Amino acid sequence: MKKYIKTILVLLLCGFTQISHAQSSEHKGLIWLASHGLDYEVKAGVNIGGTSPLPLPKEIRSLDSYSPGLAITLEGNATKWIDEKQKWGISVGIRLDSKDMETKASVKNYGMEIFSETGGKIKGLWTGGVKTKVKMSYLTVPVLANYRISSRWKVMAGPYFSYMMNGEFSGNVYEGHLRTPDASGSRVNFEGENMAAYDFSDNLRHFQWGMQIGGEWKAYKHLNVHADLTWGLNDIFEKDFTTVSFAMYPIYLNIGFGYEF
Amino acid sequence: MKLKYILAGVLLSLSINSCIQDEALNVEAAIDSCTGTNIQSTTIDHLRKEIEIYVLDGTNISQQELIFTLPEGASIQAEKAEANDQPPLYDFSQNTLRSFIVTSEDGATQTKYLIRVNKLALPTSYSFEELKEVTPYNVFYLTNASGIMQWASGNPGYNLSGMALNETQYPTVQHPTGYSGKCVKLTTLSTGNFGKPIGMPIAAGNLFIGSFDTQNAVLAPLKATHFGFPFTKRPSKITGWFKYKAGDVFTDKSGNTVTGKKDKGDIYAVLYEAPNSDFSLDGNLFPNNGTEIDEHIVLLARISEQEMIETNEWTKFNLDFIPQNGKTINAEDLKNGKYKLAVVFSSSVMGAYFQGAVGSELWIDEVEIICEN
Repeated sequence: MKKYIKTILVLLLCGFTQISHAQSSEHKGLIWLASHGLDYEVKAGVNIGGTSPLPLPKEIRSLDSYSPGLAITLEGNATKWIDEKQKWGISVGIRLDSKDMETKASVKNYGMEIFSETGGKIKGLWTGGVKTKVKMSYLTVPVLANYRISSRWKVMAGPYFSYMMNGEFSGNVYEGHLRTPDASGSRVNFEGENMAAYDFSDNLRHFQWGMQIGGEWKAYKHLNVHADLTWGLNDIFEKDFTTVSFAMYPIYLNIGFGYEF
Repeated sequence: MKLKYILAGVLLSLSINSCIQDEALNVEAAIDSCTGTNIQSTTIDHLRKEIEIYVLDGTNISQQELIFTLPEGASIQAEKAEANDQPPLYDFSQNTLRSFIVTSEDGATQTKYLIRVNKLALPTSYSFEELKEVTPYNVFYLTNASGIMQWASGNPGYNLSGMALNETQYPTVQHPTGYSGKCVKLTTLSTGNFGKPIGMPIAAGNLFIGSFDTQNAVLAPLKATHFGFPFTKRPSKITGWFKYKAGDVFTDKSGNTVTGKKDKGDIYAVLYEAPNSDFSLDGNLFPNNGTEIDEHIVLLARISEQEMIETNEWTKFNLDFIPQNGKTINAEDLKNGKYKLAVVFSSSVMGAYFQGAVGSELWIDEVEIICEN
């Protein structure tokens, strides 16, 4: 994924310089595009947020720490303005998205399974600390309705569709006890250095979708600043995965800037 | 930009924290431990929900104290109360087998346990023919057929590693071809991704008289093995048959290879002083990495390194109980059950300290404790 981002950054930078060089020759083309109600934009930003169950299930007693990872997004999009006044438009984009976070939470009777390399497993109810790391890379297509409030402001909203290219959902449990295999099973204590790792990365769903809502402010002629909230609407886990007894959704705020041609 | 981050972070954590729901009542319903006056040994079978309690012959069990450790908020009740019950004192004189029901704090989980109070003398010959349980792992009867005393092993601990896919993949299993009839086969196995990070890369196959405390299996594994059962005779020898094969690669506590070191099996029996009925020696009975001997030990019969040979043939062992710590047996105390006997077999002599070779196998059959008259 890192490789991806780098390549695309380089390409984009090349693009920018190319554009400034070739501005005079392409100028006419852009004017033509604009006159036909089409805008093009490239955007870069960071995702900050979390992947969380909604509402928080009763199993989660407290959130003890949260740290967002550096999650960069890159997007290219095209907007077609529909009406004559160019107030309403529809945009389609393609975005390289990463969503990254790490949390520590205290839980009570949290259902979990720990798999070994043989495929065997230990399952039960955990009461104690849980550290979770979620790191996902997506290829996302947002399809948004655009409304221009003023010459400088526009707001966008609509669905997005994501394909997860890479995903990690892992962590460990610490300082607490496991009741295995169920509520009437035997108790196993964990303290200090004793912890058990889990990894549900293979159970993540590849197709995810949700809603996106945001606004963009034109700072200079070509430079926009944006903030977009993306809200996942299907569970990040596969349908037949039952270990995590509640659905989890990615909810991230994307902040960044864009270059409009 | 930085301010924006901080604002977003604060807003997010505020909004999430404000969503924390009211705490739900606990759903756990189990008996985690059971102690009480005069109790010599307790075996909790978490699979079948059966608890065997052992007291000395002559103990008055019409007012047997039972102190249970239960999950937070759970409660316990005898299914049918006896007239003489005054919890925590229960009358087992009419029925030695009684049912108790544990109810979770939220009332949704109820677990029924069978609790039996036994006055049983420890048998002195062991053939490993009968299993109390076959799955998920083998549990051996210590008493044959009719008896209710069972051998303890580290199998419940190995279960936590999730490595075994069936009962034959545990460190302690029954094997159909022994010296005579069936036998016990102990194998040192890897604990995989679960055990290595916590300093328990291997699990030696073991079998012992006593009980295994799953609660401490991960936290304090040496304390999880409670060795011994009251013994009122004077043991002189332990005899039996064994086969041994050392695994190829000896590893230390961190799972690193120790070159040039060969694994050894272990066979021993100890008679020790138990100042109180609930006293038992644990896995640390040879402290300081096996170089010392616990001060309570009176007699020890242990196979020597020279005798623990690698062999494919059933080989006889015949070990004398030798006095330790300058102690002698007090005949009166012996009669009153102040001594406990532990018999221990392990496929890796340093297995309690998680050192050994994966693949080491110790086979044991037809063991007998020979006592003086």
